[in-house]
Amino acid sequence: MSALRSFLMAARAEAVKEARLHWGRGTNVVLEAVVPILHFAIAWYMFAPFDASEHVRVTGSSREEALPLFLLVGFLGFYVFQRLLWAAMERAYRERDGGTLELLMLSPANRFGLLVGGAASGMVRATWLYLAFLVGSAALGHGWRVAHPGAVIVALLALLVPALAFGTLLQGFLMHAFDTSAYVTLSQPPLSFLSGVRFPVHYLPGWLQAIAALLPLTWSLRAARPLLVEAALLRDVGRELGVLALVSAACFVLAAVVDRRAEAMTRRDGTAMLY
Amino acid sequence: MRAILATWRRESWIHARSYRLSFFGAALLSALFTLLAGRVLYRTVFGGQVTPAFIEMTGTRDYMTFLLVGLLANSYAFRMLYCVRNVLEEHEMGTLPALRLAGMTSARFQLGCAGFAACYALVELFIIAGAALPWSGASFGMADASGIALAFVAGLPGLLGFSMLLSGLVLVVRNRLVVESFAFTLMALLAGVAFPVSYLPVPLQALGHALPLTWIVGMLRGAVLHGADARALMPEALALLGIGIVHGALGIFVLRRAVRDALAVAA
Amino acid sequence: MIRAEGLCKSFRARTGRLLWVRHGAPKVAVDGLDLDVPEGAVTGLLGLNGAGKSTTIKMLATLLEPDSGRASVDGLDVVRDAARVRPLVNMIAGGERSLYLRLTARENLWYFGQLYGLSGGALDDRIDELLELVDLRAAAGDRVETYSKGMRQRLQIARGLVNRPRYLFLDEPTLGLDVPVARRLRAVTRQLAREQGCGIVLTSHDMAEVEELCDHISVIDRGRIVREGTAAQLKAGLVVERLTRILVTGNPEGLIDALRSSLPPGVRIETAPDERGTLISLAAPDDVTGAAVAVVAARGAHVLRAESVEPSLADLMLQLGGSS
Repeated sequence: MSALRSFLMAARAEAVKEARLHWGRGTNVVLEAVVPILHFAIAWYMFAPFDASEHVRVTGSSREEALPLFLLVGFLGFYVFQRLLWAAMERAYRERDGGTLELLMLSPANRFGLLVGGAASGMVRATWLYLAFLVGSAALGHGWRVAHPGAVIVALLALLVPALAFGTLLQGFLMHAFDTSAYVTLSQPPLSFLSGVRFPVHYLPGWLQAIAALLPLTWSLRAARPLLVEAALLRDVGRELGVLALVSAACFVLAAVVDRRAEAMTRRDGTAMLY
Repeated sequence: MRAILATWRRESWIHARSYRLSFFGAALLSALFTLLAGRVLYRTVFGGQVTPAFIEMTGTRDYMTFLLVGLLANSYAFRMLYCVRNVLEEHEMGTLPALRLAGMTSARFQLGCAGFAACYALVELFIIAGAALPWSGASFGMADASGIALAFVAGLPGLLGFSMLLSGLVLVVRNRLVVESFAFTLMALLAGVAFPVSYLPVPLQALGHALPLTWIVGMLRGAVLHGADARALMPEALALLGIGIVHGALGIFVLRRAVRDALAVAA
Repeated sequence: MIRAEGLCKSFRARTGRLLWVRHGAPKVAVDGLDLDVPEGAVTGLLGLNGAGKSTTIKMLATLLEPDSGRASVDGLDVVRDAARVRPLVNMIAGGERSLYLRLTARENLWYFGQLYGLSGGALDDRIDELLELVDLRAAAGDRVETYSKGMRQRLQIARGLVNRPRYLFLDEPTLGLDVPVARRLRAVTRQLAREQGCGIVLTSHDMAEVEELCDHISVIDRGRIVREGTAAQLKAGLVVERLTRILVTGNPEGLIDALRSSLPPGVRIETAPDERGTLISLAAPDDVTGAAVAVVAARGAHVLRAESVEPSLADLMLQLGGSS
């Protein structure tokens, strides 16, 4: 079997399995859509104590709907990344505690495919989130400014592809962490703060901006917001798209390297929990 | 009483031995980063200016102290309500039948867990406040100690009653993550943790007043921002007590049925 | 053929995290083990808990890397050629883990089949075949979390066979199963080895199961093979007391003294009342059944029943436990 076919089979099998394990619970709609909506509302009301005419400092636009759109895109991006954190954490617990990690290591399945499939399922589980975003978008429909329909696709790809790459890296990394939930719970607040979800990153001190530049979500939002809200052309966000492509590639490569190394250490030490 | 104290002690052993620093870290980071976000918005983006409407609603222009107090109250409530997951965990571990056989009632169990949670919450609050005060620009210079103390003390029955209700819901739904995420986030929104509740639509404000956190936030802000003492805050304290009784009665009803059904499943 | 030569494996306990990881003293799990597992036969791997059975199996299955020594599966090195070895082997462990409880049986088998490169109609046919083999066809659409322990173990068997492995590692496969299900599993094991030529490594604490199934048995103690052979050979090599039981009518006087004076010294004799007479138990290094029955008959007692209890593999395990 060719390497590509092996990769595609493993990715598909893993994505379908993870999606079936997560799907079908009625309570998911609460977690996936209702809670993000509540967080969005909290973030929106946090702007209420400040003069609305000054919101242009955040959004770059004096339009009334600019702020909710700014936050809407920011929260969509953040929650997709958060879903991937959760998906990686849950998969790690399930495979290790359920005894199936050994079976995965026993099989000849393409390891990188398993990682990508696990991450892809994390994005599929966010379906309710996308629906909530669509409802919000429809409510603010007159506010969107898009140069051409293709810009919407590019904007969504700018959010989803780096998220998939980041999620793939997380799948490999968290599988071998002792305290998986620690990494997840401790990384969410800084991710939300640093990536420009609630305000542009340039308001942060220089050293924090440097850290923010390492996060894929920062660049995703820098590319998606102008494309969706300011009618930007592709060339206007060329730098951001270039960085995203590089960061995504780096995440994929790092994921494969980390996973390969971790599996070798597991075989050597006899334990899957390495750090 | 013995059962309550035994549960309290058990909780302290469990947390001492298997405690994850990440739990505390998550609560600390969540509060601090929200405070940071508020500071960036207030100081850096909007130049330290709030609207006249905000000043009129809150009686202060001290935004950072306003925000910090809300976050401290939220952390307190979050930690007190953390024990809503305990009954479900007992069910999942298979210890629920043994507890019932030993004569443990839902009320005693919750009281024991809440006792430990209260101690833990107070320690956590001091650490968060200590970490936040030096750089946030918030000030407790006008704070009245008796008012602050009353807010936390009166918050206990309010949150205890609410925790019983949520515990029952968690056991019914068999999913603590969903109930906790939804309930805690809704509470933070309706209680005005990060903004004055007056910004919310009136129906939501009314709903918010059915939650203990709304009253705790109001009392703490009164004590810290306006120097309200215990006597001045007594009506709010009594309202909290009333809410706690109502939630508690409802909670015991729901929890008893949920435990009965869970025991039937375990059998 | 699976061949292992001089396999060694040690583990060190890890404490602490991240930069503060500390390793304890190494604990030897496998210490210079040699083992052959032919195709078409069942090879038993016996030993007490902690003897090194699971570690050995995991090394042969490519799940653990030996510290030293070599192991190969049909000439393929389990370390260098691990990727080529994996399609040839599979593992079934006892207990209820290693399945996705929220998936159905069919979905579990679909997933694992995909991991082994099966797809489409070929995979569907294989799933049907396996479900039929383990008698789970009727419950194939139900979630595994609704299954009984026996059903889950049968699904484990099906999962372990999805890739038609040339070699199968069975690690206590009948643990916790009731008699009918365990019997069925043993029948499947026999069929796999005899009819399909699968080489099987079986570990079990059920000695009757081992004696019934295994063509060859290797006994591990403290990481080394200490004994090997067929079940009969292993029992013949045991130095244990032979037990003889004779049931006689009534309570013949002087019988015990007569037995003591007639039988070799060192024979332990006990009597116990039985509803039909007296039960005489004799324990001796050698079989004294014939001599004892002759003495009893000479005293005029009527023998209702006489039996000699053969040493068993359980006695071997007890000996190992005593020497550990």
